[in-house]
Amino acid sequence: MSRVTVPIGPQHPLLKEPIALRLDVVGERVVAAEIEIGYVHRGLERLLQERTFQQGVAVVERICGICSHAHTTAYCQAVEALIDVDLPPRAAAIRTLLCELERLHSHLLWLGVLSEAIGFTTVFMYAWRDREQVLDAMELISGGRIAHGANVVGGVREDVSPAQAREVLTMLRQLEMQLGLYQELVERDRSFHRRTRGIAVLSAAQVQAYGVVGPMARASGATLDIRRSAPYAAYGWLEVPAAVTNEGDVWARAWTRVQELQHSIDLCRTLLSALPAGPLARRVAERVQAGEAVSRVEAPRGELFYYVRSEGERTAARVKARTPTLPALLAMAELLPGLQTGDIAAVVAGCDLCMACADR
Amino acid sequence: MSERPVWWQAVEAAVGAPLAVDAVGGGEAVIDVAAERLLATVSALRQAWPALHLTAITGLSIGGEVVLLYHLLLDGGLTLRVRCPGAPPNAPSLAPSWPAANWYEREAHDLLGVAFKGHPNLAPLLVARDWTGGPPLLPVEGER
Repeated sequence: MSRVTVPIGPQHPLLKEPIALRLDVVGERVVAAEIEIGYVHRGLERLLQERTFQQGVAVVERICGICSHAHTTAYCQAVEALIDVDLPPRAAAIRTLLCELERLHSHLLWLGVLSEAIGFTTVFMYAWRDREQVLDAMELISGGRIAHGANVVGGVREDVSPAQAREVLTMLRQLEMQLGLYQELVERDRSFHRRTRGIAVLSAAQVQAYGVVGPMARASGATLDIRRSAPYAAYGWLEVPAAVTNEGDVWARAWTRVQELQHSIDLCRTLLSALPAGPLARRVAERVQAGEAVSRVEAPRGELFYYVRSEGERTAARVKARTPTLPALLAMAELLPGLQTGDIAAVVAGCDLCMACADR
Repeated sequence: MSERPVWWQAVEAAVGAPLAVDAVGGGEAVIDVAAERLLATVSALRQAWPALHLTAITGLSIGGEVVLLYHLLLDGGLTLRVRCPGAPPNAPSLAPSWPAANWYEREAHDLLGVAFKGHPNLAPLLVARDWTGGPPLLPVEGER
């Protein structure tokens, strides 16, 4: 059988964002894969060198339309470390609450994308309907569904009133009732297992070799979770359970995320039941003293890293963001060869890629 | 530093000189490593900690000199700071022995023009393949 190169993307109905996959196939089997990115590179790290540290929050928020709050949290933490300011407890709790709501909507979005890719259109509809409720809750608190504008250097901008807390708790109760469906799908549905079990297995050694992070790494037995290993914001007060399994296949990536949906609901409840009193933000000067700082947060897709350097000017000398999608892409290029072409959609969807994050 | 971190001995042996450790905001340690000792240092660390995680490689232009920061994670965060001499700046490539570095090095090549010796493929990653404007993070003459 002859070898054929199948180009997928950068524009293709299978893809949610632009990325070029070049797959060499022999019959129905992939024998080589090449990935090209950069189609949504906007030069945002360069732009951040032209903005004040406070204006930078709005720029990093626009790196990603899914984990925008994780980006501002990581960026603000780095700048706060540079100016050595403590986060007020109420600000830490609200920041963390939004982080967990964001994880809920990101995981539900992912579950929908995967389900659609393997023909479970009903689950796609349910998951995205449920995700809307989470976005409504985030909008209720921050005024924005996607770009929340909730973080500022030194704290948060938005408070959570008792009435808002009650509404969010109601949403969480309804979402938890739906969760049973997703758990049953992952635990027991035979068709789901046939499309996901044993597909694209990532070993623990590959996780280390490619630097894979987040739910994808935890589905391959890695324990790395920044919320647990280096707690930030309010995570030091919370008990974050580990969702780790060793199978390493597409099924394990689904199992890990469905476990994390329950964990995030529990964490949101704990935070809402005991929001500390106090101010929402500390007043900080516009100019940041010279120095450098790093910051790591556990975004929905895994460890998000920021490096910020100040030379004492009004603008940053360098802001660097490393997003979790980059190592996931590297690993995916290794996972594709050997697969049947019919499984490509499940594997690409299962890696939870965000090209806007990867390209910046 | 009152109590030496767990990686001290392994890194000091690989670096071949007494360590001078800086702390950066966020509570992570930074140590200087000469470019020619980078591969040996990373290899010693990986042997001592098989789960060592390469988080990122940050490229910087400081006063006309390009500096690379290798951000690692073992028990805590550890950053190796490598000054890249030459024009164009160059550094040894980690990618052949540690694939995680592959794209981070390509990105530093794109944005700062660092030539990584031994890298399997330094094709543009983020900037367009027909981009002729030079590395976007290097200062342009006449700018600050």
